[in-house]
Amino acid sequence: MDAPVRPRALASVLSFAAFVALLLAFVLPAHGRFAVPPLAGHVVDTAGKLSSAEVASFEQKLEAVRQQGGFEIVVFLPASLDGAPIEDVAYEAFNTWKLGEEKADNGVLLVVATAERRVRIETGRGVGGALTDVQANEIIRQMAPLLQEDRLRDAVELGTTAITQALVTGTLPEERSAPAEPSVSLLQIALTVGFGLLVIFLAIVSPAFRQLLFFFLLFGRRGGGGGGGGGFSGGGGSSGGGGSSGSY
Amino acid sequence: MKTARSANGARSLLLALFSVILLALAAPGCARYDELVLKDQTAAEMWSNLDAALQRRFDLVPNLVATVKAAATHEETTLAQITEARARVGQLKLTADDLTDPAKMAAFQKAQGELTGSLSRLMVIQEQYPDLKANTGFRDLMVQLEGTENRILRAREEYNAAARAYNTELLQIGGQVVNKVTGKPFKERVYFTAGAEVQAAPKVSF
Repeated sequence: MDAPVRPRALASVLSFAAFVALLLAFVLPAHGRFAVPPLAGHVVDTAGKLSSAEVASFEQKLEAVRQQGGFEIVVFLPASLDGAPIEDVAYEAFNTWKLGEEKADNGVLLVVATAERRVRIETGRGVGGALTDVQANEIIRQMAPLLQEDRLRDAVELGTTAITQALVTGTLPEERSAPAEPSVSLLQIALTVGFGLLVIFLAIVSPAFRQLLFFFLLFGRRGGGGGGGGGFSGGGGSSGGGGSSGSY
Repeated sequence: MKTARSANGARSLLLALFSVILLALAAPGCARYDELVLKDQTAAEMWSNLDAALQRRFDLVPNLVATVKAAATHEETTLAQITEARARVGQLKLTADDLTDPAKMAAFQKAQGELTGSLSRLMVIQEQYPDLKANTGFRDLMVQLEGTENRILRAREEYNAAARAYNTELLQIGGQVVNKVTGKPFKERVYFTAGAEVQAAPKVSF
């Protein structure tokens, strides 16, 4: 009685296993070997090497750079490279976070792997002329003595300043993106006003809508409050492997 | 008279049915065709990135050879190999059609792979020449070469991924049918694997 059932069960288990293996084979290479942490802001310090005050000061500095020229500079301090080359980690992180504006592709990622004593500056496809591989290598060589003395904060300070300087001097003013002006078109105003009027009208006419609105305002606020940490995310840029790396 | 009319009616009904079936088949076929064109264009764009990175390396070599020649006096054979490998690369220029030709792609990849190999030998010999390592011109060239090799690596991965997406679309039954019906305008792309055995890009230590 049992015998005819078992092969079928075995077959289904096998086919399921094959399916899972196939799925993994497709999913894993896409994510790479290195697990990229979420982009928390301009500083991603998974190694925990900087104090929160230091992180905040870099955050402020790099956000100002972004507002002025559009350049998205991010500092990544991984706890470990998990055995992967720093080139792979930087490339994966850069393209996962999509640093830089989509059009200008002007992101730069500075990776300092303190455990492996490796540094890399990964450049977006659009900044290859402003921050060349040779310049990136120059910056890394300036950072190396500070890193050898374990002065990570000073090294990152020097590195981000030098990167900013190279980007600003190497990019023509007209190529730079304008500071993020709140550009509101007439249509947007009209739509917003129209929507507001519609909500008021519905609130007067329908009691059910009033209740819904009440709950929405009550709980909607709370949901929105959580994401107040920076408001910075990658703008759709990508890297094609540009930049330079070094050891210290 | 009656039979003729009914036969006529049946024929027109059949015709209508046939055209409906044809339309039902053609509509997804058109979408399939567009999808193939789109993926082919993406792959072509990725190839141009790869080609640009390879060209960048090609352009770097003469400067590099000249700089090394001045400092490393006993490395004529290595430098000659690099120059020869570069010359062979220079002779092989691929057109867009060649990207689907396995023989031409194999020759192209062999030439590029030989250049990669001979350049990586340069990394080894530089260790024996402190003067060369101290030369800032040489160091900058090596940084550029390292960056270029890394770009080639990334562009290669991106091209192969795009080519795989296109080939998969083409080799599926739907793609095959569309290709046959439209007169076989689509051909399978050959993957670029040259230098895959040289996993690590040359490193500059300082």
